[in-house]
Amino acid sequence: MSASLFPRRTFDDILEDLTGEGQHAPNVTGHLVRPPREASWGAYPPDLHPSLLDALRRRGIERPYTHQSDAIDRVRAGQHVVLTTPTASGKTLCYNVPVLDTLLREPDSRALYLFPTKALAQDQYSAFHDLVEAVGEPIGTFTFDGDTPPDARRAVRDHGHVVMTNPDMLHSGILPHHTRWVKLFENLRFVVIDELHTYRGVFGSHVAHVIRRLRRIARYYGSDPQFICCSATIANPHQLATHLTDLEMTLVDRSGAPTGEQNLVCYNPPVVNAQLGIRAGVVRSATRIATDLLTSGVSTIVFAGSRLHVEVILKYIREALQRERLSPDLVQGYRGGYLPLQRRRIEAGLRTGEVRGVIATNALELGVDIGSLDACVIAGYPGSIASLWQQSGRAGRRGGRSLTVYVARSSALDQYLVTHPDHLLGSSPEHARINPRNLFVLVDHMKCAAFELPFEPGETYADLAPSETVEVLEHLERNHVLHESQGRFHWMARVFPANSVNLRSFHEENFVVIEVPSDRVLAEVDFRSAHTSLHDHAIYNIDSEQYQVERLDYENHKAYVRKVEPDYYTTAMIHTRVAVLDEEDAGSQREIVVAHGEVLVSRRVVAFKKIRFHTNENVGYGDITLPDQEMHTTACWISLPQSALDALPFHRDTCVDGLRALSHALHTTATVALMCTGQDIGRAMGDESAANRVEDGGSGPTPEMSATAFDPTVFLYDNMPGGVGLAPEIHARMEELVTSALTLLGDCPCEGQGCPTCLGSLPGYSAQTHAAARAIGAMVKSVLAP
Amino acid sequence: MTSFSSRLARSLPSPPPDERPVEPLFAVADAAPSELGGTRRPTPYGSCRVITQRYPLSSIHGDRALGTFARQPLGHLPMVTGDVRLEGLVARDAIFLDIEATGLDHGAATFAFLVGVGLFEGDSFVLHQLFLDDLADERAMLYELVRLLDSRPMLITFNGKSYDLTVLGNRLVMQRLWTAEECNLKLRPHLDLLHLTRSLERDRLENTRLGTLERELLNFHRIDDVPGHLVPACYHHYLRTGETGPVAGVVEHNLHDVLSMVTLADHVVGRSRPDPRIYRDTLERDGLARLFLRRRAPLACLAVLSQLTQSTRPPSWVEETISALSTAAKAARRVLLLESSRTAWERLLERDPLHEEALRGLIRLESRGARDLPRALSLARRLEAVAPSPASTRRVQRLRLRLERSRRLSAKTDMCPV
Repeated sequence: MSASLFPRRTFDDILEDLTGEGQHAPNVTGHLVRPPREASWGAYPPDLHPSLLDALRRRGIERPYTHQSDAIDRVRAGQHVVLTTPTASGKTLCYNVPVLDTLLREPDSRALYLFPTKALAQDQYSAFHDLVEAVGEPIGTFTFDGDTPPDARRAVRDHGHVVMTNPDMLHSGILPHHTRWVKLFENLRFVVIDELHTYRGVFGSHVAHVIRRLRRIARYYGSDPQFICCSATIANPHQLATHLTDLEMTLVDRSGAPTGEQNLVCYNPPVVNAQLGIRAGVVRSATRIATDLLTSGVSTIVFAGSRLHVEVILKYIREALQRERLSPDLVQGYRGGYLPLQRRRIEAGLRTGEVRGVIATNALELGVDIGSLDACVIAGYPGSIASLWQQSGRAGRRGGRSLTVYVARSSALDQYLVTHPDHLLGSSPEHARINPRNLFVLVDHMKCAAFELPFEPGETYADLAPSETVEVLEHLERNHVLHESQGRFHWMARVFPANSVNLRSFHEENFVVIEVPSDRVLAEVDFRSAHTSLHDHAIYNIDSEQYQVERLDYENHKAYVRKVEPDYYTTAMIHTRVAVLDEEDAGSQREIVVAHGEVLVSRRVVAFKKIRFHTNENVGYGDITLPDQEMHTTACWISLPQSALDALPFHRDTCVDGLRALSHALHTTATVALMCTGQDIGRAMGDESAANRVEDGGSGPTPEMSATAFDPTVFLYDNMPGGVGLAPEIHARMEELVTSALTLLGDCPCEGQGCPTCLGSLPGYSAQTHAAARAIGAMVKSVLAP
Repeated sequence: MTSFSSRLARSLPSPPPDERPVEPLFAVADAAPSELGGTRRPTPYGSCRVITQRYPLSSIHGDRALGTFARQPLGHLPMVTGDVRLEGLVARDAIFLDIEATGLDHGAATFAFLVGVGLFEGDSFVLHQLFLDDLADERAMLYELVRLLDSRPMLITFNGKSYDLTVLGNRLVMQRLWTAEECNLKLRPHLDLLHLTRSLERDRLENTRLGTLERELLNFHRIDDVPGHLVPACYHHYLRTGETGPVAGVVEHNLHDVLSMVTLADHVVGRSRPDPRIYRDTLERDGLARLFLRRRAPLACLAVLSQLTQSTRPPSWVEETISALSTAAKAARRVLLLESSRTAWERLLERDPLHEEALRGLIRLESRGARDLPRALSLARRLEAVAPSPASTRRVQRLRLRLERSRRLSAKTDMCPV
């Protein structure tokens, strides 16, 4: 290399800057070095089919790692296996080897592979197909999804030894038509579930039922397939796999794969206004670090918390690259909404190195193959420790030195984590929860199951007791969905039930974004995000270009946008209302009620703000009128009677702000204590004595409280329709949560003065509010004490 | 803790509107007897209701007798349907099949609750309607059905390919009395009248629904018929209440379906014969000719158009349609009657000098074996002007080069002393 006047900074310089005595040192709160680890090798089973062994050796896989050989042995011993090892440790081999070995010995046997998305199935298809080619035996491998043309479907049904599909297709395209898949179901030996950790929450609960239905059909055709599940690192892979499949699983979790040196750095942006305690924004800080890395030639992935942040960071970095006279195309955005072809192009560019940097949402967390990058910048806590590690695994996938910088937001949770880096770097990742007993989900799938096969006398479904099964069946018969004849319950409605049961969410199709006047389709946006990003006058960002929404055709799910060059972007404000449907465990704790039960949460997008690029000034408001989105779920709530608040030495408004601040602290501590993500728990405030319990979700303007009587109520609700069991757990652990919330308020560096970090978003901050929050907390705690 | 049942009741107060069953039109009940009739026939798997009617061959349905089909020769069916399994079968080998089911899709839960099976027996046409008094009778019913189907080698349905045979196949699989092969009724020799009718009549009818065909082709008019989309609801009503009124209407509907299939079969089988004397007009003749060509039966196609291709005098313009000429030219080329093919294309070009297909066809004929390259080139130039495309430009260039080469070659030959 020739010496130059201004030597280019290297990876090591930047790492030194962050971790040594460099300019960033005061902002770095934690640094974790994971030393490199040597590979630990196992051996293939001696009686593995010779053509398979040969193919593996020819592809350069001489020996398996220990976790691979362990998993292969256990599968061959007939156990149901769940495997959890880090990113890029060769999980696919653990299922491909035993499956191919069996297919080679018993050519009639069949295997079903489930991937959470079509794209992943396609990805794995090509990898598996290459291995099959190398083996050289006629093993039919097919993907089966919504894109499979009708002519090809017959071939898949008749000749597919290995069928790769997704849970949605299994649910609506295979199980209801099982009579045409007789060959598959009669000979089904293996079911492989990859990316197990994605099957959490309501989606996971749905998939748990799809698996139960799959096993029910398999039993009918006389097969009892073995399950092999693979998961990214989560706290409870064994429990999740057991709940999902309803089978006893064996866990393999000791990775034998080698890793390079991994550096994880926690970075808290500098304070820019010491008086107000305001720190530099996460977008700006992440942009600076990423630009630094990219201009030094370090390939970098930036994970942004939202689609909007992806676009803003992409725009800023491209501008910075142009100032350095570098091509802006070196960095690309990647998020849901980009069209598939565009995504494939970006993935390929990353693999070949033509694209040096990518700004992504968690869409790139899963096993999409993008090769290895040197550095990863995480702009804001991704919501879970599991995600944090998964995202950081994108850097240094194939050994060498790598760097991950976690840049904290100003939110309470981020600040809590960045100032307690031991918690972040040392604790285990979260639980993935599912609730197959969720009644909404369960009844929907019982309908689908009855459609597939009539319920026999005495048959039980899923996790229901025999009497409960009969109760649901009789309920459905009363509603003319089923018909009973000689103890068997037959499907007897005209509709096709799988069509009305959507596994991903309770809401329908995506919105299409259409550019005028060219009529070009720019992107697709999911139903929920459409409310916040495609309302009239919204600025829609894609590929760092701005478009203004001219008209949202809500009924037809279309948004017409026109290219504009504004100096601002828009963010939407949301109001949330909670209505109690059913109260459980209200107890008789004096006047203060701590209860949980079923609630209806209505979410309404009420207005939007215009935010100027770079300066973040608020340059205007606008109203939005869109229909409410309703969700039936479970919640835990604390209701305080007016008399209790009147007893406190604060003004009524201060009490309300104090309670809101307490709810904010409770939300943070509940997120940490229950090991779930911030989005899993919703927070709202309402008035117990009002007809409707109306309130906001924290980000909107303060709504008016009833001026006369009010019994304010704090809701922490399960943010999944039907709930996954968080509300009862919050209720059971309320005393512990209130105690840690009080600690959080007390320990805040603002020293009782009140700041956004400890009190959350409020119209104003004062020592009074801070004191009110603590007083209310103490009051609630005294009621809960045994 | 709230009980399971009250949570259940609250979470599902009533089924969503699209699942609420539609009450059938009860007007149909008046026209039909309230008793279904028939007897319960025993089988090794319990018994099922069979309602049997016998019709003399001379019975009239619409404008023709049921027996006329029994005398129809079927020799041309393999050609017209493209299905060689129909080879060597006669009309009396056929069994007519039509089902009524509990749903309109063909998922696993759709039952056939009524199966109409018609066949010729001696001097009568016999219709058996197999009906499920109770869903538990299904196994017996399917057993009886397979027994009936096995008595004849050939199936005739209306849209059976995508509906009736699929639903029955699903149910046979679910009862697990038969092998996969036996369950697949689609493996049997099968004439789907919908497909054949569509090929023949599409151009002259607004649609090819059975009701339209009955009205327009068979002169049969139904009164107070149960509309097809209400059929599942009628049966659901019967299962819930035991009232046979609405479902008796469905039994009658099914009876008419089967009888209409017999006369429709007579109509389309007769009209699809490659016989130039029977066509009502050139539209019908040309449609059939195209069908034979599509089914790779060029000889049958030429037979249909024989008046056109074999007449020595110039045919009248009425008979000589553009469609007929182009079909005849293609069919003739398939059987290597190159001169007939050329004549047909030439006649077509006389009518329409810019006809693309004719230009392509002639270029191919003229350039083959370098029969007439200058003409091929001039036609190719004309084609390039009519339909400019890179392919047609390449074609012109290719022909020009060939022509030059052959001229150079012949010039050399000329110069050489012999």
